[in-house]
Amino acid sequence: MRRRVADKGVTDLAAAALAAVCFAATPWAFVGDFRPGLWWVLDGRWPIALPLLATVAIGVLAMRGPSTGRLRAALSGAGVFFLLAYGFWPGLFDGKPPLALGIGAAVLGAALTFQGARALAASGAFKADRWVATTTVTIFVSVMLFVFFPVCAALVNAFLDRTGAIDLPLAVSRFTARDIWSVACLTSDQNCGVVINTMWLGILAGAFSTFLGLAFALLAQRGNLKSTKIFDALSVLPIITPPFVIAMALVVLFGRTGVVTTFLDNYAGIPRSRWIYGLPGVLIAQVLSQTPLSYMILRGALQGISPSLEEAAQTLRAGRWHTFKTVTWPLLRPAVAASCLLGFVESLADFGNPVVLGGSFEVLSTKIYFAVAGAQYDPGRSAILALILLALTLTAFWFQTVWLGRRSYVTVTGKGDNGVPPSLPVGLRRAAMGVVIPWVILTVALYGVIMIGGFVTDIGRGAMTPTFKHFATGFAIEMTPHGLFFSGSAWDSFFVTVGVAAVAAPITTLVGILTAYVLSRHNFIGKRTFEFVTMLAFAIPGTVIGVAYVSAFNTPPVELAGTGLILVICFVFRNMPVGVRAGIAALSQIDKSLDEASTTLGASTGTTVKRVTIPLLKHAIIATLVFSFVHAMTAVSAIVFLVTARYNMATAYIVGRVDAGEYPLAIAYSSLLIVFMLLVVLLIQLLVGERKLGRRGVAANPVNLGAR
Amino acid sequence: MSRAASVRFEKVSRLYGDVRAVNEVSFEVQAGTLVTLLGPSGCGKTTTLRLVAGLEQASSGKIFIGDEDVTALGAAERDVSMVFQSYALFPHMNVMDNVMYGPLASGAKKAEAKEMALEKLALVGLKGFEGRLPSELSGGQQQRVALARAIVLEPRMLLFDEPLSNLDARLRRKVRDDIRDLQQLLGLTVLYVTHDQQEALAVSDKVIVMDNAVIAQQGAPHDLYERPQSRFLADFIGESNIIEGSFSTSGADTLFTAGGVTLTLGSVAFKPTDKMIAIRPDRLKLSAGGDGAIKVRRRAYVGHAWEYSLDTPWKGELLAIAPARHELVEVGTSVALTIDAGSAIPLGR
Repeated sequence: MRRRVADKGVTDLAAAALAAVCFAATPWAFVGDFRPGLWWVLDGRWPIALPLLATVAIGVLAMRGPSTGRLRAALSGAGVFFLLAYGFWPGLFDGKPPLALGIGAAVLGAALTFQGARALAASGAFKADRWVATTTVTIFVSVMLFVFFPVCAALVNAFLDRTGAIDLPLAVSRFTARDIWSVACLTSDQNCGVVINTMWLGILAGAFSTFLGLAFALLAQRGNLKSTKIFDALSVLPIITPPFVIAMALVVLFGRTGVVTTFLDNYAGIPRSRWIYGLPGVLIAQVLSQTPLSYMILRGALQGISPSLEEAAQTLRAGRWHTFKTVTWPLLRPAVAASCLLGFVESLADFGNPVVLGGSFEVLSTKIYFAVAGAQYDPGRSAILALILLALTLTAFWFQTVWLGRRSYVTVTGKGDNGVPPSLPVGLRRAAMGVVIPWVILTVALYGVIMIGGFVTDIGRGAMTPTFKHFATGFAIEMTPHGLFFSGSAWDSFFVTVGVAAVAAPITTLVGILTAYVLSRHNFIGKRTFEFVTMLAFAIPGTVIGVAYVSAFNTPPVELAGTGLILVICFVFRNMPVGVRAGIAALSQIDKSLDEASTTLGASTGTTVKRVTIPLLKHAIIATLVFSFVHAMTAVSAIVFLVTARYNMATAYIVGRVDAGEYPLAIAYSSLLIVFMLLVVLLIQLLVGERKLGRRGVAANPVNLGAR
Repeated sequence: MSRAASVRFEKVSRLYGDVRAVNEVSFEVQAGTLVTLLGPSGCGKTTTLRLVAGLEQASSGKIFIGDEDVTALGAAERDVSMVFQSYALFPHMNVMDNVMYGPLASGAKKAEAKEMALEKLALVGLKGFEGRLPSELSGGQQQRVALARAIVLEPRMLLFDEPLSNLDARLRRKVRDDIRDLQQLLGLTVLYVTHDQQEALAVSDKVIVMDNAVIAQQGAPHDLYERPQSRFLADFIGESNIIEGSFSTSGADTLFTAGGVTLTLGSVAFKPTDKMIAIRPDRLKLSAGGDGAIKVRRRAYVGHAWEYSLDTPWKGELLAIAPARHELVEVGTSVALTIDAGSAIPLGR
């Protein structure tokens, strides 16, 4: 009855054949050059034929069964190594200048990787599971190529001088520069070093956002409110809001000519000032965007505390305050710590808010940017700053996984618990209300500014005459004899953004969910390394990735700068860890015995994934799709380094407008983006919701469908 | 149909790091029989079952199914089906799709798979439930779907991992009998894991008792109950009073002395190394009298019988089960004990 699926080696041979065809027929080198690999070989670049010979040899060997596994793995490794070595230092072999690798080379590299993975499986690695081997090796190699390699390549610049020679004294002097470590602001009114600024801002942002998030969470879960809908609505907003939008709205309200400033100047005699530019403004903006995340973490933790624990305390004669102090709060502490740490990390990685509101208050992310994009182009300096930022975030990340990983008390047992959580002590409830209400008002006012700002002449200066001219500038569409013509200045960046996000989202989801599956369902040697490398992308701030990409992918052998492809790749590897997380979380809810049942019924791993795992992961997949799409549209930190005139992104365009002082257009564009993403999110929710209904429909008439 | 095959373990071990979950275990399951793996939790019985399925790989030793060495084969290639403790029904597929899953994964045509599935669903009495989702079935029905899904491929061997543990007591007995009937009807080879000794005794041709990663004893149910070879077995299968003391002979009778009290056992063969006896509570008769060494501490009425707990001069209480209708002995009264001749089991360890 059952078929045994044996490895016949045909797949390996097919991969080799594909590589050979591409070698003969598609461009070997990148951009604007259509000569295939074969032509280059005849032109004297003989070394590029060697990896091709390796892949063909592997294909032939594979036909002779699994016994050749080790030899094939070695050949594949040698082939990849040679491809890379020639890519970086062709001068060592034939004295010719480097070539940027194109389609032909990429297919050859992919074929070698694919064959290598199957060879490893054939020689017993990955429990001899070819599917797991191919997936793991492919993801690992891509992460190495698109995360590890560029970051290393960029950080090496910290130790090089302008000619590319190693210069350690210069590196030390860069590292110890006064504007990095100075603590002058503690004792005088001079500016502090950028690291001190960044850390201080991060600590404050983490603490304040956690404090506010806790007030929201306590009210939502224990506050006896009639409805918490407004909290939930507020918690969705930062997901679909580009990070600098809040900063813009703050300027409109509290800037020198801002609405509130003017009002206070006219009626309360408080003189105009520029207080919003600098630490206070950046902090408020960051806390505004971070609070909802803290709220969700802490609300989740509160929900996870079994009400029966608090009921038990009360039956033991503890009052409300005493219960809160001795039971609720201690159980909540790990989540509070997690939220603080997350706020800290997010603040370090934030670029959009400080770039709009920072003024003379510099943080690492903006300083890195200006060291590359500014007048004084200095890759060494930006590399040393990136190194420091990376060290800070990695420390926080390490702290989070090692320390918090062990300290979570909140466990979901899956057992029903029908207790009723007690309400908050009266005093605490009042305090929370006192914090939450002004904050909600501020948030509503800021989003109000964004939504109205595009439709009036200049809200930043109080000119409130209704007009459509900002939308006309950005989004005009003209009817011409040749059809519609999108003449607005913002259309190009809008189309590029939507296109890049739409291409990146499914790839991100695929890579992320597959990684999660391999990590949570399979054991193999090297799994810890694999896990570490994939999660590393999570810890690297966008600014660092941006710097890394411009410096690593600007030259051969991997020359992608200035293309749309680099944007897609950047998003895929930036957002992939979110898919990994969602996937792991969802998989931990799905009993492993389902996979095992499928396997004992004779299904291969691939079939199990396709027919059992993916259908059950539907919600995690959709969540990742939505997230990576929306995130690709709102990201700014890595993107500002990578955009070009041809491939401009919406966020970079808006930051440019803010820079030029064109607030109304920037606001109009932002409101359009927010509304567009809201519609996308709602549409997807609607589609998912309908499918659920459909299934209930199946349940309702089992007899009909049984006859199907 | 019988494709049923035997299973043989030859010194199979499974290590997790330094921990031996299964330690050099050897046994055989004859084709067409039902064998249970019985033992307390953590004894290695489930690991043994998963080793047969191929869900765990042996660290050393060999596993044969029929005459084929399957030690290195993965779960998908072993032609062995399993009914999981949680049933592991695919929640996103209806009953039909669940049962059809195996044939389709093995490359059967859809029509063929459907026919096979319908046949097995009829066999487990679930005709007409094809369109339901698992969440719309009762626990017993889910159990039967899992069973149908496992037998649809007519595997060489069927494995059960504590299949009754999620059912209530009344249903448990019925499903237990159903499984036994089906096994007999189809002539299946079945390996069955449970920690419930009654369940094991009731369904098995052979019981393998495991303790601490090794096999403590194996044999027919009746054998295990009547002739346990160790204190662990006597305690684990059925209830036993274990009394430590010394043996002596008086004519044809064997005597046993513990705590200054001498008990007459009838004719019982003992070895010089034996230092305790196991007595089943229903083989003890008590009546008012005696010299005051043994007294009634408490008694409990359990419907079909009375259970007496007795204070003894040796360590521990003695449990005696008396029929519902007998001359009641009051709490605190001194009693005389009689042991059914030949029923005490001498044990060395």
